[in-house]
Amino acid sequence: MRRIGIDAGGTFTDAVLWDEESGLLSSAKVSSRKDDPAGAVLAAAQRVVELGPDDANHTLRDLVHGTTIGTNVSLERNGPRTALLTTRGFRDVLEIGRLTRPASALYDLLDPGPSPLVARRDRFEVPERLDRDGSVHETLDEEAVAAAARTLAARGIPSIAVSFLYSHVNPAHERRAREIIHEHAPGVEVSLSSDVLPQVREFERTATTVLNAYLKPVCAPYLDELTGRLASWNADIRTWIMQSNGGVTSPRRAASSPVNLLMSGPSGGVVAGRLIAQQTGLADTITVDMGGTSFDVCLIADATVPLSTHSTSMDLPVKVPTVDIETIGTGGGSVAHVDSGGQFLVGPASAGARPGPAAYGRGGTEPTVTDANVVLGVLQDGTLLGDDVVIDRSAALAACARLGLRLGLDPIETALGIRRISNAAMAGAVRAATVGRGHDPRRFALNAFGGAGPMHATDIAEELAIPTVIVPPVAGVLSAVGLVVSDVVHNHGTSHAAPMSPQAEATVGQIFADLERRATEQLTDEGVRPTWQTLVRALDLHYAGQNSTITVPLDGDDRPGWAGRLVERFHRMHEQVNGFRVETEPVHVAVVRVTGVGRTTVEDPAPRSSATSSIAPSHGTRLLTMAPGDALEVPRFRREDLLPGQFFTGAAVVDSADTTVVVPPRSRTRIDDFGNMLIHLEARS
Amino acid sequence: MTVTDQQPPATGAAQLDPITFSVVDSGLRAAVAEMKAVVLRTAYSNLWREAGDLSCALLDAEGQIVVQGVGDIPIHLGSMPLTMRGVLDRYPVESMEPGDVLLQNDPYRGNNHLPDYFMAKPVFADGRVVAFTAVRGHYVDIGGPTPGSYYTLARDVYGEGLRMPPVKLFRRGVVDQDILEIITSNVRNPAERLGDIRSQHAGCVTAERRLLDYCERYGTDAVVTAMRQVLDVSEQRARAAFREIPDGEYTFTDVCDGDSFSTDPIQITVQVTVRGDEIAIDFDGSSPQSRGGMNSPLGVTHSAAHFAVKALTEPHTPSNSGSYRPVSISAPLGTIVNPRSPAPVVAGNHETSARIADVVLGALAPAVPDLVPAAGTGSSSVLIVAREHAVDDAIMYEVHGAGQGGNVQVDGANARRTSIGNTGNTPVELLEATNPVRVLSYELRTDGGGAGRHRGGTGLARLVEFTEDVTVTIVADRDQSRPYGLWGGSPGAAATFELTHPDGTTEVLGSKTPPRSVAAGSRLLFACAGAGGYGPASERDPAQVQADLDDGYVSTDAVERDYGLTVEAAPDRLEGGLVVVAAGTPA
Repeated sequence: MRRIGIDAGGTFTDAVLWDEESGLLSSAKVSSRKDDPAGAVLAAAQRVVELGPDDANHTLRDLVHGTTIGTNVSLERNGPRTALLTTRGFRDVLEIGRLTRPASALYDLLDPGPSPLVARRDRFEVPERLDRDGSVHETLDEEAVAAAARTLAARGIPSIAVSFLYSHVNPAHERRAREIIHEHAPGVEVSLSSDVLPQVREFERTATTVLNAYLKPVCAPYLDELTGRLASWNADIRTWIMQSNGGVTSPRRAASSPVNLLMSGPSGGVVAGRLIAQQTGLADTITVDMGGTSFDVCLIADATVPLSTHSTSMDLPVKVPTVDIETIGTGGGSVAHVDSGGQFLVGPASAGARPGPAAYGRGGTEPTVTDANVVLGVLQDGTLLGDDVVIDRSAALAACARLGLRLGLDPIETALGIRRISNAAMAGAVRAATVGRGHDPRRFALNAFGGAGPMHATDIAEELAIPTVIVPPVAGVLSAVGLVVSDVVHNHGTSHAAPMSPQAEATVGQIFADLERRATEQLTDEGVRPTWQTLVRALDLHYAGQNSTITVPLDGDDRPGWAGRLVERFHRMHEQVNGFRVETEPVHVAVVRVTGVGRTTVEDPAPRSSATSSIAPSHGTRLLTMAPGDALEVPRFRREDLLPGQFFTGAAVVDSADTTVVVPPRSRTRIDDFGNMLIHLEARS
Repeated sequence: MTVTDQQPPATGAAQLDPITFSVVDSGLRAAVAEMKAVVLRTAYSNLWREAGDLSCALLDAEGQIVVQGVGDIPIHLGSMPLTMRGVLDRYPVESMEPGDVLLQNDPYRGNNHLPDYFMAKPVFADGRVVAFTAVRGHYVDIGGPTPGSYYTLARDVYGEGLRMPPVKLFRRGVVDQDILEIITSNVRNPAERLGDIRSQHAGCVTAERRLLDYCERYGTDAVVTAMRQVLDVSEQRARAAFREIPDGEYTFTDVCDGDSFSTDPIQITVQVTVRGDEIAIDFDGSSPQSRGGMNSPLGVTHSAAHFAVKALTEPHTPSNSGSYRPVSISAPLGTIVNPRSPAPVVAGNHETSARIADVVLGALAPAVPDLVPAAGTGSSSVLIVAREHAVDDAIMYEVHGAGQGGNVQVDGANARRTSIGNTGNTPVELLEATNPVRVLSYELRTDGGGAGRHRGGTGLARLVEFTEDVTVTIVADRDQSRPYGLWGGSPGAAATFELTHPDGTTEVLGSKTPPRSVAAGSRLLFACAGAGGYGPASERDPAQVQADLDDGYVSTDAVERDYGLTVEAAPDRLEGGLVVVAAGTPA
């Protein structure tokens, strides 16, 4: 059977057609439509099917969609008016937050701070109060809830978040409030904090729930429309939506918890990274995705999608599990400059698409990272980018020359400097993601994609002594490939504070069982057959006294005594991440987690071919400068010409439609059976 | 190649090429960021792990601060070079060995106040000390008469808790158990202290490792040279920014509202002299040192003054000892801004220091009116609660001071730490888990913000019920004086602290309430000051006044009194039942 993956981005909507047996059949790119995003998804689906085999439309089973609809609403802050219902005395928790100002505003006396996502007049309070054990200290004032609901309806507010103190321990008041709101304000969407994030800490729980309420009136109609239009195109196809956690879910479930969609787009890329880790047998990889404005790093250890609960959106914490991607603002458009202290810096300002790099000829005059790449020969003078940009090396050279004058550097030295400084910043981000968490980067492979990633990846790898760089094929539609190989994933977690003693095995085991029942119900409800369901147990543990936790997986260990073995594992992980362990300190559990995973496809496809080794055919040469006064004439390869089994040694550039791979001297490059380019770097002497 | 043509390097010192310099510089920043992450991940106390009352830094071998942690607490940082100097005076660099770790908290050797313990680890490369990695963190309890170690009736520093001179906590990698035992024998809840000390140490070790990686990768000399150049570059940035301020002599005076012995105002006076690219700050004319703990040790005064200058001139570039070079500070000995040992200092660290920053900013308002906001809350507004009949128990230490003054562009932020502090709050659901309190409300103050074209931030109020007998301490300010407005804007509302006893009688507490017993069932309303307004209230857009009324940031009374507008009932109005009309105009 066949599946379509559709990754909707800000500019383009990418699609792939994928066969469960043989892998990629076709790919397509259409322009995204801001006024009709569902239309672009449909157009991309139709296009990729047209490009595929003749019978494609009759053998389709699934369509998997990564969407930026939630992300766009959050970036533009143009969501609907949203309300909040809280325990009396606590409506301002959302605005007070944690009191601190962000690092960027530490010395900025004029920074106004973010305006609250829910206006104070729309934050309603009702008498009710639970104590920390969940017992009722003050009963819910139902008439007050009804009055708030009537005001809400009168004001035409389409969505409300309900967040009461300690609702993670006892959700009864929140649930009753939902009934009353439905009664008095029919049609209003209600998000309960005890559903969205049943965990301790009222601000974080409230903020995550408010974001959910804010996104619902935008995401739900979009998903509804999309499902309808896809069904009228092909009634047999089943639609799935990628979530922030690297797993998919049904459109109905996605619409009810849209806060899980904020990282839907990047999730596909991370899952693709896992696929490549499996294909290459290099289970420990670091994916780096460098585009025009940013550089994303994700560490995929043991071919596992990493999750964190530390992301933010619109200055609010998003505590639902989200693919763990670190982003820094280094991209092709980052502008090099000399600051008032005389320091040579790259970024944080970006030339963006307009005016863009000087080499684009759109009015940019300051040198960017892209300009440095043009000056040094990574990007060929005269290359056509998209429809209307022709790379102009003389403009890039002039921009570097102007900056160089202020630094006492010639234009080539300046361009090399821009590359080195930006590479150092990116290597720093990779170092933070590896060494900073107790991983040795020399054990990892660097998997590079994005328009600019492959231009810098080997430099970053050399800086960190990473031995292998992978550049996947179809780098331009890689996220869409990730979509078609993803599973259904639901994360269930609940706060439970207790020491990790042998006695805990019973109580925690009971919570596991409850969560597993919910997880199984959800997977079955999604149509995942029982044999394709997997349940994964984990506990968030910490030394008694600490609050910051480490998520420790049980790896299927449920034999009596598992608590003790898990504690030992926690000690080891704590030492790896933080540099020390304290055997004498008691270890406590904070959150009990179960992840339900449902496979949606048969095993991953076999390699397309297993060709014999041969020398790759080059296609002319390029003059490449990677050191002062040392221009090298290197072979140029065209990516589309390179076939599995082919190899070459030494420096080269490899051009494809959307990027150029820089291959350094003292390296061996080979195309594997899946079409991945593997660059083995020789250790520095 | 030189980094800048503005000032040639001193005595022909080696310079890195501009590219290598920026490459190493980004590595140094990453090292300190990583250090802070480790400390926050491993800390034990709510005050560290939830509220973040700690700061990290990389210092050079002379003890100058080169890189500070991202989002760290300004009051912790400006004083670090003086604290490190205090260490080096007792243990010169030559007396240090690999694996040593230094510890001190002495306000009279450059530290802030006793609760802030400073730990530093020398980094050895090529057989010499090339740097120090340091973490300063607020220990929730360091002994003394009452839980939380804010005994504001202490007559001297001896009464304020355990004072640690600069000592070697580790010698050649081996911890000195004697020193640890001195600490654990003197503080409440020693297990939690030990947890925080381990986390502090883990932070120092992390940054040390990373720095050694860079020494190996780029060469020790390059790293040392880069650290020097970081300071030179910051100095040039500061000088360039100072040249934008009109030359002149600017003065300003404001007050703190007394100490635990007397409510007589404590005056802070400053004269700021701007000449070209240098700034001189002189506190001559400030009050004599206080009998209670409102004294600001010299390190704290430096931190606060440097914060104000940095915030005004270049808020978005790194802050370090280089930025401070073109600033000179004069604080007469024996005054509130530079007390003689052994005067008590516990409250000066975050109360007097806030006023020091306020007066430096206020002085420069006429020089750069577009850059100076009206005064913020100007107090950390600390509430400390502990069980009366328990030992080695949880201690609640919460800051409340939050609210920024209005400025030339916009209203001040409502609930945000400002100025020298950036410690956060603890979630109510965690506070109640370990402390004998039930929080009945936690909200923004109506009419807290001073009126003006741009209104001041509202400040915060919390209503707490005590579920057991407790000891309560308040260290706050601005219950008598009010945060100043600028250019016709009104001052922010004063702080109020009102205790309701179980029998229903009420009592107003002072902003310096020394530790006292409070019976179970009592309630405390703890309202910090609001912030000042900017520009005349008459110039505020009536639509904004209406919005503030609808949102409850201001009351009907305030609209009529402060803005000269009339409020009428409008029961059918969807956004709220009150409408603002120009005085005398029918709706």
